Amino acid sequence: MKHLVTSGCSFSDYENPERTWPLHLQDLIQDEYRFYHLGACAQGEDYISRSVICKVNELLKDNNSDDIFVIVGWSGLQRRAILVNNETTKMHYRFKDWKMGPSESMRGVPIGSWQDFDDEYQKIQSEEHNIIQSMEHIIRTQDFLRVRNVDYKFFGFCNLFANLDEENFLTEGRGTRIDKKYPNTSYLFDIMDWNKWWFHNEFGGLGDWVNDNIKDGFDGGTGNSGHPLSDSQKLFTKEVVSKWIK
Amino acid sequence: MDKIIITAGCSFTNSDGTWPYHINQEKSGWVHNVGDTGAGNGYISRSIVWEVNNQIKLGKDPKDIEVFIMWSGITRKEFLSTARENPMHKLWVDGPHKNWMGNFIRDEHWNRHPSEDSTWIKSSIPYMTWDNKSVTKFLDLYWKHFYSEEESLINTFESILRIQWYLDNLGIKYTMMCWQNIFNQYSFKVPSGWKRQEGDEIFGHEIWNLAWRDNTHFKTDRFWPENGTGKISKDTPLLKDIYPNATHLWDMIDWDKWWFYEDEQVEYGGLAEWICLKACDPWGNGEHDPGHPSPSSHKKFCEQVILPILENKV
Repeated sequence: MKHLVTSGCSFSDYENPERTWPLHLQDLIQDEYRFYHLGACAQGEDYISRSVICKVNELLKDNNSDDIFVIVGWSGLQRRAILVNNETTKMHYRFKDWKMGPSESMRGVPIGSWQDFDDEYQKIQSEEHNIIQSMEHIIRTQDFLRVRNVDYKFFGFCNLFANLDEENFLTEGRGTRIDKKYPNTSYLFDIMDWNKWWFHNEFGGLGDWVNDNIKDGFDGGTGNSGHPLSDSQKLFTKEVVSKWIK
Repeated sequence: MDKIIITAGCSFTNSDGTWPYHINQEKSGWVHNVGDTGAGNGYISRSIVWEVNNQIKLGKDPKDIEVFIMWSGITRKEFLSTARENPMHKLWVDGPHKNWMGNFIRDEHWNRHPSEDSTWIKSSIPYMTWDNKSVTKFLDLYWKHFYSEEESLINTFESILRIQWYLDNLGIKYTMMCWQNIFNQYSFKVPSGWKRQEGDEIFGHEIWNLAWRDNTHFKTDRFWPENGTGKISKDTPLLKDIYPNATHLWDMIDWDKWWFYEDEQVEYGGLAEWICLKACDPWGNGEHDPGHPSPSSHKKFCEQVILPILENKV
């Protein structure tokens, strides 16, 4: 039996009310692969990278690297998480009722409990810094998988590398690549292995593909907004994701 | 000589007469020291990636690069401040205590990326007071609302692994070490006969700078005392066991690539332990810099630890 690890944000979350690509892919190839779905709503690269590295490391203890494949739908680079633990539950009102166990896991992976802290981090950390931190997580995951000879495919939930825009996550109208705006990020573009990425046109992601290929393919009230509908995710899986499986 | 030796770390790697400056460059290779005052492990890892990538872009064969990393304290954290996004940027970079800012990005003449554009604000130890009050107030926000020891330990392990995997993929030889033990939870009780109260429990760098002997600004005889014989970090709890969320990261670190100083008193020791307990040197770099090792201690460390590694004698 081969093993397939998926991770990402809400666009890759198997619990999303609109069925996402990991489940549609499982429908297609579940006879060949055992699936591990780690994608989680509202998560950024902090959680995604940790979940993948921990899970793959665990699988490698009992399996050959050739039998493991990883697909990650990376999230927005501006997203940040905080580790909820015995120290942070005393710091923040929103975590005051958090029941801490001796160790915490997410999606069954023992990496601790990482919770969305975007708004708080935006008060002290620049967007440029957030992009650096997120790209470091992606590259650390890339280098871990390479050094362990585990094959993988990366894509973005939307265009991650054009100017960020919270309101409009699609590529159109968002201008140049972010390292032109933020020079401290440019060396990270050098060391990313772009051959392992899938893009729709220039740096476009899942959202851009749905926008260009399916009319009103999202669950938002205004056509091309919100999350891709289950049928959109299904078509994306058939047309794009399934072709990565060897 | 085609070889380049990239050295990275905090002020224990780049300040007055530190160990990289004692490497014979004609014999061993040209030293590119990217160490920086007050650097934490996030900044250290970034400085290595930047310089290795820079050398490869300049045409250097990875086989001709060797990297030495001396990791710093786990609590340290850096924030990127830029003129683009931070309204306080000018106030920060024009204010006092500029040596606690820096950028590892440099041009072909080894000039740093201009601070007028951007710089990394380095926190140093929790709640350290900067001469620039505005920076202190900013960093206090981090310590109060964001910092936990557990998360900072995870961040340090991830910085170590990022470099391990990055260099392994490129086939670059490297050695890792610490400024002092950063992996155990340990303390030391002041023995009898010294100015500090006998039995006082002291921690971290306070142990190794030996100011507890005399309770003055600086003295030249700060040798490790003969009656300081008890266990210090030896057989103490490892932070990775105190924080199980970090254990799987610890298990992935390639410990064969590390140098540690260990004896019956300490484990996972670094430069500080080596100077105090192995070299038996007095601590301090004079009145102006009592917190750091002297250049002569760094020279001994380079000759007795770094050069044998460089010459493949270890």
